[in-house]
Amino acid sequence: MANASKESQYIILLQQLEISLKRGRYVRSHELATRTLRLAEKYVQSDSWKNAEEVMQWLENTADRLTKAAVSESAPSNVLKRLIKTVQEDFMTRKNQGRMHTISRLDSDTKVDYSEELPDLRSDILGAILDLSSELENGAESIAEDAEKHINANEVIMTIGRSRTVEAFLKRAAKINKLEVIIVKCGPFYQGKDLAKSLTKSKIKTTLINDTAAFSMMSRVDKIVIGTHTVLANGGLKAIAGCHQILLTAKYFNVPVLVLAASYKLSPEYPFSAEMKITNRFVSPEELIDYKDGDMIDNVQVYAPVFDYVPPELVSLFIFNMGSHAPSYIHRLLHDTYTQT
Amino acid sequence: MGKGEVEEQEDVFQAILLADNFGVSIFGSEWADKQNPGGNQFLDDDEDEGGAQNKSKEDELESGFTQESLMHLGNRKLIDYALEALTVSGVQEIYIFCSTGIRGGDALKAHIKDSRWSDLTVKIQVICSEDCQSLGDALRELDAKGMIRNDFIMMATAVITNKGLKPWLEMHRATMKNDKGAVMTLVHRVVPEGHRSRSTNSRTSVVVDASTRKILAYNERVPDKRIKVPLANIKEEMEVYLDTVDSGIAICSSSVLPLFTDNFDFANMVDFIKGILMNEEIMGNTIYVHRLEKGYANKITDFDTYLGISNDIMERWTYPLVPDMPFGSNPDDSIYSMNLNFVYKVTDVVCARNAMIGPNVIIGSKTKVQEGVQIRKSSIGNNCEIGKNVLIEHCQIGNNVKIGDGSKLCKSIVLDGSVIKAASIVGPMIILAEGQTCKIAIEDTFEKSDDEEESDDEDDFKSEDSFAPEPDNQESDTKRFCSEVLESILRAFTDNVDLDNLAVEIHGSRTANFMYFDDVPNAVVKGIIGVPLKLYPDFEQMPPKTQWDKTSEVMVRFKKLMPQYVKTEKAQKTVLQALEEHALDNAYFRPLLMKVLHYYYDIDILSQEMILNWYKTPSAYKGAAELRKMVEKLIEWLETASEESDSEEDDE
Repeated sequence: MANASKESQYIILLQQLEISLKRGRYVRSHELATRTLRLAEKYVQSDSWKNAEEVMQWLENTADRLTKAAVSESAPSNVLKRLIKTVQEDFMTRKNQGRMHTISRLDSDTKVDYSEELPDLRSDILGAILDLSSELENGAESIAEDAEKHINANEVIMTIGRSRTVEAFLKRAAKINKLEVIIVKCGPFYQGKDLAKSLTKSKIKTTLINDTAAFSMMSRVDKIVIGTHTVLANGGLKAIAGCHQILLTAKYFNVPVLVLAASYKLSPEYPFSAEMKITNRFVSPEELIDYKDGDMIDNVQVYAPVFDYVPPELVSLFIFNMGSHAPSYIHRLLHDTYTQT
Repeated sequence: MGKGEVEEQEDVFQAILLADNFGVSIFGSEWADKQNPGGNQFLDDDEDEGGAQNKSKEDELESGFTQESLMHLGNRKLIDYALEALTVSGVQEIYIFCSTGIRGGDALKAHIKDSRWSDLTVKIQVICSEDCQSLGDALRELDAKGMIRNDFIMMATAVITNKGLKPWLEMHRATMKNDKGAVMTLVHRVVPEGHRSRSTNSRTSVVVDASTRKILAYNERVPDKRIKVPLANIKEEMEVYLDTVDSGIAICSSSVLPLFTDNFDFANMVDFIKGILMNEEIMGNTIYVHRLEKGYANKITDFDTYLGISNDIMERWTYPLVPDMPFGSNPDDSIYSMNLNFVYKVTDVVCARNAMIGPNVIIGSKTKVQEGVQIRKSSIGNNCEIGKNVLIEHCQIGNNVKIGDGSKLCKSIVLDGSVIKAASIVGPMIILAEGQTCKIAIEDTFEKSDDEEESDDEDDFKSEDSFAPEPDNQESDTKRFCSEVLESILRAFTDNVDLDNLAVEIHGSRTANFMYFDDVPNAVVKGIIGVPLKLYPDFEQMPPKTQWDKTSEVMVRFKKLMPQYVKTEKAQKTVLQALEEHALDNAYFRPLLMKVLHYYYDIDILSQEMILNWYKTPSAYKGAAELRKMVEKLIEWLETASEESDSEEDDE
């Protein structure tokens, strides 16, 4: 009985998540990741599957379905694809329990049959989901723990727009060292303002500047710390619009760029893949031009993209919750996190 | 989402969605009229009331009729935009009211069943009614059913908004705390005149209290930039909104439905607003307006706004209600992706390399576009075939449409499954219906634009404003109404009924026959004049002196009734017209006409100016010229009187 209700639970969760994605009604990718994980948990708890193969199939189908619902969001499919890898590993360890097996066996060409039913697999996967969920919950904090390693006393840090991870990171750093923060407002949404408000409350010396002033201020900046929407497979970023030009400026002045990202932001997709899965999101141009201005809007095309693609050579270092890596190392992380398909 | 539902258990969030505008089509009446010779396939609802409605309803049943709310807009159905706005705001019960009868209702139900709306936890109920001729009737019916228990949202179908409705509902509730009589908050979006998404006919003016945004005066039209505000409503600080349009969204208190039931002459929103304002002091009800500066909320009211809003959608003003967001679609529906110039395509679209597509174009799945094609500001449905060198501008094209080589389409709507032959010219302002090909010369535009202006004027007054014969189809209702009024007056005369009761009776027949207030003077005058005819079977054989005595007796008896109905110059015009019609129909009355006119002039029902005007305006009726000759004496007298009064004034 309890299982039957669990079954319907995950179907409802899936529908709700899909609908929010389709409608574009969600606040942060973190929210999406958490909801996806909760969905996966409910599915694994249900009686809808018998063996690892079925779970993996479901995860893959669901990832596809959610990607289709909102092509610009990668968090749900990243979480699910990561679980596929976890299921594979859990399956192998269970299967080979008691036998001596090396990791090299896993990578060999022999095709593994995942349809074998293993009684303890469910609790293993649920355990892995639990780990992942605590990782999601504490992601920002564990990244912030690295702050003291990267930020030295009296440094001038520039950041762009508002990222909650960056916010936690800077506050942490300010506890140990004195620092100054320059925030680029980041039009047309000006999330930078909110960050400035929050940092001043924590008594951090904060300067809010216009996007256009980034170049003139850059010579004073010691480091740039930004968040990102997605880290792509080539080490590039899908980050808030306006990042690209500011990071180019940073390159010109040779200012190091630190990118903070929780693990679910790492995507196995390349920026220009055949399926063009990495897509931008264009929102209403009302922040850029007044709708009342009838003559103008009838004759001018106004685009309001949310994201920029930033090539990997502009990034100096990624700080993930599982450690810091250079962009050139992303391929290794991908290999550890996702299955090769 | 789940959390919200739990909180709302007792307090269900309800909405009424109107699937059509009770016979007033956004595509206008001219279309249907113009296209009638070609058959009945063409859309659809007439703007005329009453008889015309019934007629077009029959047509609908025979033809490939498309429910208006299921028309395409950016390759979606119109109603999907409204449903999305409602469901995303957490509305739990939606009542869709459809006045085009069972057939239209079935189409709607089928659409909702097929689409994702049916999987949502929202309760959607389609209510069909053929009897409802107005918004008022619809709301009265809903009130009788007792389904709406809370404050609710009322939305027209062709509303497109990307704002959440819940904050507005809360805002309205906050207003209600301060003002117990607040019954409605209207949402008006700032869209200045001349904007592509504002109808040229929209000349609404709203006068509000600057601090509370309570409506003090509401005029649907500002004729000469004059705005009337009732004296009692004058406040220290007032704001006048001339740059807003009604977004078709109204947040209503639960008392709105009973108000409609109590006042059976409220036919539409304007009646309601004006009625509430007029009786504010007696009933204590008030209406507020919310002026929306940011965010999208607009309503399609005519073809221009239809095209304007389709461009707004393509240019993403309505985000997230844009073509590449798959809201409201089925899981297996194709997904659009946006390209430069706001061109939306599905990956399986085949486009020739030299086809010029954009700006603002959406092309549906599996559509083929051949060489040399130019498409601008248009939507094209699924599985269409567009031949070589076709030009498409400002068009909405349905699914499975075939367009032959070299055709030109402009400012038109092509419904599903149409086939257009090679080298055709379609448009402007044409609707092509299912499977029917129609070729219309461009020259028609000039005539049409003239027609449009004329008919616009007619719409302004919603009644027979000219002396031309009425359209046949309206006759039956008008006739029935006239005969009912005549009966009432006759009974009042013989049984000596109180005039107030008579007025109520006339009012009742008016609502029962869906007549406008402007139709009443005509019926009343004909009624009064017609009483002696009914009373004495041999009246026409009586000597003229007796005839006049009898007639004047009735006129005197009801002399207090007339001022109630004849308040404006327009009404005077109607009275004159009614008298003329009666005289032309009844030979006996012709000699009496002069005396009748004189009498009404004496008791200040008809002004000298209006009589002279009428006299000078030639009429299309046969015998009208002779009739005018018969009243020459009176005219002469009036003219001299006017000269005298003029000279008197001069002397002073």
